[in-house]
Amino acid sequence: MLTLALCSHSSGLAGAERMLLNLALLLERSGAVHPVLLAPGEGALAQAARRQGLHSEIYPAPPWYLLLPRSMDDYRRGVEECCRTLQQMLVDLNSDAVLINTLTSVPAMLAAVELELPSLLWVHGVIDSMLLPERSSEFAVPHDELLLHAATRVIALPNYTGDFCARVMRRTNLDIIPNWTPVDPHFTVPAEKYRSRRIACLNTFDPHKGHATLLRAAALLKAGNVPFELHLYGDGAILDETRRRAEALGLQDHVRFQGRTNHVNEVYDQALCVVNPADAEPFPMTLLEPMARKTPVVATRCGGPSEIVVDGQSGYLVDRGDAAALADRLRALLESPELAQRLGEGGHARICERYREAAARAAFVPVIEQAAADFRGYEPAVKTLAKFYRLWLAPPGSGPVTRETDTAWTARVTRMAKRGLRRLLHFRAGRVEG
Amino acid sequence: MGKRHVPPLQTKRVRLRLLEESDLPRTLAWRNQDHIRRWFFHSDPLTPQQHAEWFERYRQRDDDFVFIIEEVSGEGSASVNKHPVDETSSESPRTASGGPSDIPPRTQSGGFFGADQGEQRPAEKPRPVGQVALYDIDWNAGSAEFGRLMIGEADAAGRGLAREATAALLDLAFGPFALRKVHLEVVPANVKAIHIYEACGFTVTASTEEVVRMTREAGSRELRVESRARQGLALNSPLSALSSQLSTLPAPTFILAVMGDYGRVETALAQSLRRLEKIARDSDCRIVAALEDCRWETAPLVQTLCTRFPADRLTVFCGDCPDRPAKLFTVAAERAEGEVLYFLWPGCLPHFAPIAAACRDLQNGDLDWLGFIRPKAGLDELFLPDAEELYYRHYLSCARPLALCQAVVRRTSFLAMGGFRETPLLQREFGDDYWLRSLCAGQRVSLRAGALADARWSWGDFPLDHDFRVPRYLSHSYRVRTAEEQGAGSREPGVRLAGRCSLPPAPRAPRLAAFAADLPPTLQRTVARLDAGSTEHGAGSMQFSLPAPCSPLSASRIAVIGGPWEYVHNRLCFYNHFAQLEGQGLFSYVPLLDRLLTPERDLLGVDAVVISRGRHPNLRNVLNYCRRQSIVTIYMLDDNWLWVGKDWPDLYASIFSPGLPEYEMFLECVRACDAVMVYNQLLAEDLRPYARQVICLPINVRPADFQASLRNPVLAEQVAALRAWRQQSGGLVAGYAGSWRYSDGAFQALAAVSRRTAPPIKTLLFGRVSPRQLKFFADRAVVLPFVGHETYTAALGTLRPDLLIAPLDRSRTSMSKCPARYLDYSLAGAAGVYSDVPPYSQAVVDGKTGLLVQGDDAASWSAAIERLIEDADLRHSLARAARSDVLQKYDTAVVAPLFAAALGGLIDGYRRARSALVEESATC
Repeated sequence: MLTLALCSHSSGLAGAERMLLNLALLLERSGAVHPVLLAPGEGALAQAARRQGLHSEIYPAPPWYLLLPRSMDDYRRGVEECCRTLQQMLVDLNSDAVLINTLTSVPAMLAAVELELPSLLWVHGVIDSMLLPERSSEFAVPHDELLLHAATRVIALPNYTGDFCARVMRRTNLDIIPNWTPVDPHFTVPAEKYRSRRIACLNTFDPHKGHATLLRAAALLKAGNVPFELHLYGDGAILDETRRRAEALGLQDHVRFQGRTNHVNEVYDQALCVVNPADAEPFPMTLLEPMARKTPVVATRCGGPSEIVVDGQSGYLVDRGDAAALADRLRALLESPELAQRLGEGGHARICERYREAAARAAFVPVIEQAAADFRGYEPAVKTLAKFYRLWLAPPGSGPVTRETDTAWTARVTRMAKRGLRRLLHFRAGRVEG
Repeated sequence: MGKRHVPPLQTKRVRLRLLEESDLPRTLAWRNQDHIRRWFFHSDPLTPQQHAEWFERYRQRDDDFVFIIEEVSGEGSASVNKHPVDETSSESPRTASGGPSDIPPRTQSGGFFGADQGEQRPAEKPRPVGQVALYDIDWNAGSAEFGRLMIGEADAAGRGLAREATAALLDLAFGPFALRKVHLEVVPANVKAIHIYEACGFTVTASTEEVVRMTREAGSRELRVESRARQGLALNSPLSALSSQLSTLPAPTFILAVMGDYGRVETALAQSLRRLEKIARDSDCRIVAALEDCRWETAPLVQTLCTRFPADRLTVFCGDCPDRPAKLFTVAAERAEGEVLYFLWPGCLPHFAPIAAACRDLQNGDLDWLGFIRPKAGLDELFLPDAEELYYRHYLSCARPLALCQAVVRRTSFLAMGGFRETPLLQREFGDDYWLRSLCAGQRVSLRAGALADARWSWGDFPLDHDFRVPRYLSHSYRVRTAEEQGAGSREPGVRLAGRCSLPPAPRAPRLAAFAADLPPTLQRTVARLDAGSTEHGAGSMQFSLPAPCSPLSASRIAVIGGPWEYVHNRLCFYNHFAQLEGQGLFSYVPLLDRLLTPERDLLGVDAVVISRGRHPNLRNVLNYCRRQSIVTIYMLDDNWLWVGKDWPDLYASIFSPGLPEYEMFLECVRACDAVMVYNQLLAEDLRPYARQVICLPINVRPADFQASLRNPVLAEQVAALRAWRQQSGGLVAGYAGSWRYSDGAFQALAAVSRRTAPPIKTLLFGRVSPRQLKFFADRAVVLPFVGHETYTAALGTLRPDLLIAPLDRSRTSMSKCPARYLDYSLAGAAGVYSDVPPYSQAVVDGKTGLLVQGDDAASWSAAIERLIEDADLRHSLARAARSDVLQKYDTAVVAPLFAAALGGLIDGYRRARSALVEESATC
């Protein structure tokens, strides 16, 4: 049996980490692959893995490249330390392959290349300045390219995540595998579910998650004297701003801020419907999971949701930022239990048809087995790339690291990123495509 | 009275204390930073001496208070009372002049003042980061001006310290200073500062192109203009009074090209979008987001455009033209609505206030485009009062000073021109090409000093995903050549520059060969002709041999490098020849401005560099580059700079004297270049000891220039009046045309004959004469101003004066000049009287093609002039013979082969020598 080390970028339990946990469970159950979940530090992910009886280990948190590091010295040290520890861990675990979760950090990839272990990169979404305004693309994109072009196999979500990897990052040989969710065969819809007045939204409070649109829609419902409750779960950067906005719209009696929850199934079961008004979503679990529990969904046409939901059959789709359309669809569900039931059933059927665990297992296991079986070592260009990267991070000289040397170093990093690293990457890309 | 003492004042994060002498080096360094001084109305760098002198005056004044802004940190400072507590008001009586005496010292409460003296001392020593001032204080009227605000330390900028310091100083002004009104002036483009002032309660009272005036009165802090509701919600956005005013101004359609190397431009695109979002909130502008190809659709930043802008004002489309910004912009313009367009790309941060003002001016002035050039070293000359359109064109042709994002364009005019040209040859130069084509087509344009945006990249260095790497000489040749075809011929011939686009050698830019199909038909014909190896000119009688027949791949690429005012020299010495030789596949060329060029970028692929009258230090880089790249270098000089400092020390010793940088640079060029090209034997003699090789060529003139129509309406009217007078009175027009002359006798003589009544004489002074010389004529002379060469030749050709004089002193400098007056006078049909000194004594045959006068005494000149006035036959025969002589010897058509032989010979010889060297080293 293959041993696959699944490296998480974070110790939390947000969407990408939950999917990694789900994958570990799926592989464990498959009997073909032995997953070992590597979590960076003790946290919700490691705890959840232990609860599920999964083999998990802790390793030092890898520095992220999404933001330009404040100190390149710290960044270098972090990469080196993490890479060294991971190498030893992979040897000790007798790993046959490494799965790297998300485009966030490089140590796992460096370790895999140096140990000549096949690497699988799982890309869950695209992060740019819209989603992370503080991000420096000049620093982050070369890292993305490094990961995408070095990886033995790249697994991406359908829709724009895969398109982005192929078109912008020029990684052409991708494995497109959608997310999945378990479907409880014994699940029964709670009584009176479709007569509930509760609308749930589980989006993180980030600027692109569409809360402003949702509140405007809620204001329209209120203005139309439609009775409803809007339950908002989670936290995030704009939570306070959203509270103020709700107050400004006079929605205090209609909107409940419920905080984070780990009991999502209860949330889905108690809600009439789940709404996802985001401006950008790769492939949200907050649509798959409620659909699996026959909860109708209303989402925006923004990538993943357009793939998951068939408008009018398995839920509703509205344009981004279109509060009036969103209010109209919610009103329809609130006013017609029959309609809500029909869409709930339709959503469940859609999940069973396309996004069940069995389908994901059938897609994932061959990719992992093939990656290990076909692997004949990394191409020289990739190994050069990894060496180059280590050189690239070399300290700028002796003496204490000051702000000035950091600035100069950052400039050097950026300059080299533009020239050497990217040229190598494109060389590699050309060979692959050619 | 001396300056009163003002104790330091402190807020949460900043402390203001009065400027001290020890601060001067620091404040000078801040003030002289380019990004700071550009916002000052007097933006020249200050010297330490100027700064010290200002401080001496400042410290005596009681109406001027400059404060150093210090950043404070530590817990202690946070609890300091921000608001002034004037418990000692009885101790601060108004002085006899009406103002308060010394500002009260720190109060017992240890509050507003003197935080550095009390127990709540900051944990760390405050760090000076900038300055701010109140000045021109009128204690009686209770008013003052606010200004000199700057944050000089880079890492302190953008953190709100300026705003906090402004608020603190206003508290001082309206508190202890008891002022009633504070006003300020700010450059319109300085949007950041305007926002700070708005936030601190200033409101705009006047706005022009040059300045925005703002005022704040005591107690007016609440008078902020509330914003309009956005998206149907009554949420107030921080719109300003200025923005509200501007929203009534015409807003352009912003055309944003979403393109480039994703990794490098994505962050910059986000910044541009954020700026556009703000502009869209503050105005009714439209946005067109043009995606170069579909890959951009997958970026969340682009996917969510519709959430950033109102749907009815946003157009997003995929242009399917990767790496072709010209095509993308043109297609976008076709789809755009609105009358005025503004083009931008990732990294451009437009300033709405000046853009809105530019839109208004564009529409009010009925212009086709309005461009702004940020004054900087090397471009200041563009805005000299006597700079005329010709120089604009010269600049636009060789310096690329006008970035696309610094202009607003009328949409209909843009489309009438066919938009930007889409050939890959102009991948990065489509904007410059458009300006030149527009000028050539006679569109109404205006250039002004200023800026409409900050741009991280120009199109010259924008990180395209795929760069066609077109050498600059090639794109220039294409631009100039095809600009002619698009109607430049109807304009002044001055910018109908020659140059033939030829394909470069394959090893240098092999990818360009694929674009041959993009060349216009005429160029393709030329290439075919060149392939056949035919040359249509003959040069049998010349002392030089012509270069070998050319194939398209062996045409020499020349870079002509000169200063901002060398256009006329370049025109006569080079461009005339290039125009004449056009179509023969000998040369293609690019003009470059010495102070702005970057050798590695601008000299890519050139075979020879001609330095025209150069003395700028940047030429050292050029020479080094040419040495490394084995590029032939030629220095052109048509004035004797070795002597001019000695002959006319008052005027030129400060430039042309040994040891001075410009003079030494000139000599360094002469020594370093492979050859020096001159037009006078004396000058050749003088330069020979310094130069490796001196080539002396005849000067040339284009007869067609004297037959061109006179386009300057004022001059045309004056010339027409003179012609009408001559026709009616039967009199003669006699005079002088040209630049300064340093001998007076000839002008005295001319003034004397101007009093004649039979035949009546109208005296013409066309160009530059000294005030003393002008006095000789009282008010009897018709004075025409100094104008550009094209206008000058057209005016002379139209007027056709009867008699013109050309005095020249016997200084070595004067005798080293070209006989240009002889050529001009002759083609204008005038009989000429010249000083009997070189170069006239060598060019003119006395009594046959002109009269030569020895010395500078007025009597000799009078005799010669009188003789020509009296003897009409002699006058006419001299004029005819001179014209014939000039056409035979100096017509460009005659001299151009000589020029080609000389230049081509140099390049060929250099190539041969280089090949021999390579072979030799290979053999060894």
